[in-house]
Amino acid sequence: MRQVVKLAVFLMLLAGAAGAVLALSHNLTQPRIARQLASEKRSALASVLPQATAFSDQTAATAAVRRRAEFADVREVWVGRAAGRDAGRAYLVAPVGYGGPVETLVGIAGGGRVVAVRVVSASRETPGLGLLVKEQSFLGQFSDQPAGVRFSVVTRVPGAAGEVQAVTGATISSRAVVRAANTALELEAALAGTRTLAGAGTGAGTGAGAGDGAGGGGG
Amino acid sequence: MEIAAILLGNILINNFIFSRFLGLCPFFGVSRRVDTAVGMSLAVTFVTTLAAAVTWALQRLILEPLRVGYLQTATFILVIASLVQFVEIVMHRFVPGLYRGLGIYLPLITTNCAVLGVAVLNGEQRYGFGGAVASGLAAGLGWGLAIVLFASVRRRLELAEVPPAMRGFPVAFLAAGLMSIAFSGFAGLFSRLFLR
Amino acid sequence: MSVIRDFTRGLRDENPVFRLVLGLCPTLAVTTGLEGGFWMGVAVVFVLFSSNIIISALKGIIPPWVRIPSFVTIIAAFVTVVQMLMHAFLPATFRVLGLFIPLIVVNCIILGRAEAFASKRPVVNAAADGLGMGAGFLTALVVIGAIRELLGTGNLKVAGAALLGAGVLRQPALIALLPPGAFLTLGVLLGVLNHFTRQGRGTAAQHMGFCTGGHCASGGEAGSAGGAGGTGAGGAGGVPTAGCGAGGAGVRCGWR
Repeated sequence: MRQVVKLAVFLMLLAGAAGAVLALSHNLTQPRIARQLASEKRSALASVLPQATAFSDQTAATAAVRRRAEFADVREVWVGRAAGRDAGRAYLVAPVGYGGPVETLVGIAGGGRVVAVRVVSASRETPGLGLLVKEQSFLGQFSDQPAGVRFSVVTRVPGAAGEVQAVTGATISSRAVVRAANTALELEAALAGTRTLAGAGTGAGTGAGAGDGAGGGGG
Repeated sequence: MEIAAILLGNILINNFIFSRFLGLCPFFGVSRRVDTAVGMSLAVTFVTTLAAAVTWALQRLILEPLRVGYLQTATFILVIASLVQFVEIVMHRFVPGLYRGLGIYLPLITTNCAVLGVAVLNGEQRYGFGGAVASGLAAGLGWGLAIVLFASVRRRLELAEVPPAMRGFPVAFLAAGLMSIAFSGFAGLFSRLFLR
Repeated sequence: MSVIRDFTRGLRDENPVFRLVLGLCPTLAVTTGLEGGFWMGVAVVFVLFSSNIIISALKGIIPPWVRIPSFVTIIAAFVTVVQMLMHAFLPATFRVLGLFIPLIVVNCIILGRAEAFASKRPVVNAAADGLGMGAGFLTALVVIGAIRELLGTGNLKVAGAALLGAGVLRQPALIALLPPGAFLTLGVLLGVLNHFTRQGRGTAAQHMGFCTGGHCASGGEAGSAGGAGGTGAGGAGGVPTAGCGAGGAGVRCGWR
């Protein structure tokens, strides 16, 4: 019995020492990690809503609308502002791709026009195939499309508006990104009707007023 | 439906051996005979299922509320090691034949990447309890499927005329590679069966 | 002298990947590129080196009955430290390596060396052994990663810079980057290595190392580890002892 107690005490001390070392390392590295995450988030948001200078996290505020089944993949909702005026919304949607979630950030300006799409993380997709959905050559197809159009994947050169050519050999990953974009558009439409977003929607429409006139000129 | 997707996913589409590369050391070690392979798979499946359940509880009820997520690796592996020891004792008591048959391979399940792997993956995927258990079960079953299939292939390899430099591991790896190609044929199954 | 030998042994004679065929999971999974292989190798060197030193330093006070859980605790602590360091200083690599960083803790090489070597030798030798084995692992991973990246993309990328200009293959073999390619690459590599380094008792790559236990110490169970009683109270079970591939007395585990 004494033997067991001795062994147990030793293990406890060892585990305690290890735990202390880990807690210390955690405290030392955590600030840096947090800073990195924040700056990565900022630069991702800036890349999908280039006109905005400030972003506010509206994920919590939109929880009620997002509870609908079709919005299950939406992780975050951000509102961009520029000079106090509305500059679009960014949605982080993570549908399942080939091997796991494909975290896609979709920037939408007034009238349901997609500004840009960025794939934030696709770590479970295949290198050389599915991972190529992160490339601008694929993602660029989402910009410059008419407002409110619904995206679909094609395996040839796109003909109609809203058609996006899949990455060769990576239809599944491509479809995931397209689903993300469509989900974001649907959520945008749903939110515009409810005025849940702070400062978004200068009226029933999706703020197609002054805010976007000044900011949305480019594109 | 989600459970079905998880089962299918971990057994066939993202098979733990041929797709995820988890549990390879014992895979190449135990697959010389089909009966050992079967016995080992049963033991591993038992452990992965149990480990998935326990580590889920550990993560959700202790690590997250106390905000010590960084202790995940250490606590998980120690829990798994204890679980394996526990399984050993239980097996020794209730199924001594199988226990003896497995011999040294039983404690080695602790170092089987598949066990720790499925535990960590479950956390990443944010499964509920049912999903986590299904995932653990499927991981073990998929691992077992791979190893039993592979054992049959290796029996034939032993009788084949293999160039001296390739005998043993090299040709086994080539065989595994071909089987991996076969398994990658399941890739499109998800989107076909579970169209969202 | 012996310290130097302890170091070089891990590089060549008992290279964990090419000779002992251990630590396969990360070897196949993260070698889709030269960089991935390199950083995983670095992580393992760090863990091996540190844990070998600590375990060797504490070998006097770790009670034998709970040595496995103790080793696991120490190794797990270092692995977690590596995780945090990578997350903080190499976030891109951290994401690429993903799941396999925490899996370093069940890497047979590390636990194997702790059990077979570090817990029995002085700190300096243990440190050299850790460095050597780690370096051997790193080398193997870099070689495999380079081959797969070259075949799969026609180019080698280091820190974002392509080393071979626009690539040397017009139609790269994508399969090299996919799971089958990993198996095939390693199989061919092992075959080639065997061909050029034929050992006396059959080819070295047939010998199994530590973690596949039963084949070790041919002619008997793997030492004291046999059975539940072996490592006692709450231990992680009978991970086999004995110098399998530990080069204790140049003993090689026979392939059954």
